[in-house]
Amino acid sequence: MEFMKDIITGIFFFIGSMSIIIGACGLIKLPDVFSRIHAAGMIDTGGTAFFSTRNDCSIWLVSNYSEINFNWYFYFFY
Amino acid sequence: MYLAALIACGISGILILIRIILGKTTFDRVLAINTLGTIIVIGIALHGFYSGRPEFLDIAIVYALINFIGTVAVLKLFSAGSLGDVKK
Repeated sequence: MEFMKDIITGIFFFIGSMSIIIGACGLIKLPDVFSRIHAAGMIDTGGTAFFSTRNDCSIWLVSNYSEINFNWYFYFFY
Repeated sequence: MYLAALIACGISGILILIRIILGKTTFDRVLAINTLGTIIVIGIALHGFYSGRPEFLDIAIVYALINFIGTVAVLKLFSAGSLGDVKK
């Protein structure tokens, strides 16, 4: 189960990191204000959603239910 | 794994700082500062799980609230010219 936790953590971290870096590159390279709002929205949704969903899944997989409410607050805040 | 994600947060923070420095209008800078706050929130949460102390999520939530309120305050100041109803 720890191996599955590591694999899912890696997948979610990879997608979240790629979303953050692509959004930052778009924030530099896009020409208009409204296009940059698109890039910033990509960072806001993709980055925070994938990083905090990773925490939910890993804690759910090791079946430690004591801290799961703690992370759902952080996930629903966004 | 946590370290790679933190390095990704640092790289994107540097790119957003370049946009803050080069920004043409005020809206570019406000948008980039809001996005930098989001990156810092992700970094605080990652640091909390990297060092084994998930209590840092509270600090991340408070930082996100302050980030949102600060962005709304700066936009209201830019739009209306003042923050309150002080009329003489």
